[in-house]
Amino acid sequence: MINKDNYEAYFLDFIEGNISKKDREELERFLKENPCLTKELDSYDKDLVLTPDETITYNDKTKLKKYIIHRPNWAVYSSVASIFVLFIIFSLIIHNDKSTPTINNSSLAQDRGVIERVIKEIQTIAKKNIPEKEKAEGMGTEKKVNILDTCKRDINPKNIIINSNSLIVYEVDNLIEYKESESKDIKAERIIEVDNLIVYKDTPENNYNIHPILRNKYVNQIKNKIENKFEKGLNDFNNSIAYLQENVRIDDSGINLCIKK
Amino acid sequence: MTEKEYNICVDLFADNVYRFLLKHIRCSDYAKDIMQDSFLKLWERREEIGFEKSKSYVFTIAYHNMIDQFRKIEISKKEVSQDREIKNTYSDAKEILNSALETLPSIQKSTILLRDYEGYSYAEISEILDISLEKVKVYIFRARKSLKEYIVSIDNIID
Repeated sequence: MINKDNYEAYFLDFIEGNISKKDREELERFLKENPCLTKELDSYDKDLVLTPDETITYNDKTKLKKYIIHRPNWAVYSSVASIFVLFIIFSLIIHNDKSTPTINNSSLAQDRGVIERVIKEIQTIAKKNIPEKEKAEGMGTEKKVNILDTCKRDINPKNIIINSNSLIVYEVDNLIEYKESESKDIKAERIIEVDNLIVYKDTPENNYNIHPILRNKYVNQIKNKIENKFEKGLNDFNNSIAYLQENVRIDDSGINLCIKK
Repeated sequence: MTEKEYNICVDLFADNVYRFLLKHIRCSDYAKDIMQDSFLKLWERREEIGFEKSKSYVFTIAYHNMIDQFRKIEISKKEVSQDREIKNTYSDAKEILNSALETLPSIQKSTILLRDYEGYSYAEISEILDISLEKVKVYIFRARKSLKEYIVSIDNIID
């Protein structure tokens, strides 16, 4: 309901052409009752617009910026070390079994006891080495799985996610690469998404370029193509993107890629 | 919002927020304190706030921090009283307009700056300043009317 406290809002809507028929009728009635306000409406200058002073800038942006320091995950290292130690112990046992086939049951039981004690000790050391914060957040276990995935990928570096006559998406060295067809060279289509950034290569010789702003454009291009043609491969692609976001990051130089520790 | 997106926010919006604050408090030290605090809050809540909402969020925080500062130290009154002294020499229209802006009440200044400098819609301004849509329109209308009156009065003095 228009009154002396809010009539300016109706004036503004009227001047900017955003007033409804009902509000316009109400405004006309109000102005008939308060003719002195018509002058106020007529004198309003909608072209009186302020422009920002671009010379005023905030020069301490680096002080506002934040960087997360990725600490080494000792839990993962300990786990890998324990697997390595266990492997050596089992190799020795197998070797002993072959060289001394007449070994009796009591010495076997004794060996098993020793192995179990070693395993317990290694597990205790591994638990001690997990930082307190990571223990609380359960990060130790999660990272262990990722490292195992990394190992698998190192063994089989060229893992084709999708392959057809017109589209190839494959993974090399933990990165997603993409090109239109088998016969074409990888040029501008060589696109990688890492940690919310798009990294691309114009030619195979050039260094990787990074474009954070272009992220949606390129990722959506790839996703749309895959969604339209390859329903089956979509999950693999999404999983790979998720894997990259979790495990690969831009290093401190802001240019190169590296594995998150 | 990720760490990278947060740092992009700093690059994209820090100048805008700083200009907005300086237009109100005209004291770079206070403005820088508010900047630090506002961006720190954005960083702390980055998991909940999407990149697309980050600009509005940081303006909202900066505005409310500024109001708190006004209440605590009443710098607003001091600064405004100093700047309200009408000068009789102006180099250009922009300077007159800036001088006119200083005479506006804080809330009118905020609405007109968010509208003209940042291009926010009335609904977005209502959200940032936590006032009704109707109030936003009223303040914008009153602000432009006051600016016009100030310019006309200066013209008369110069003539």
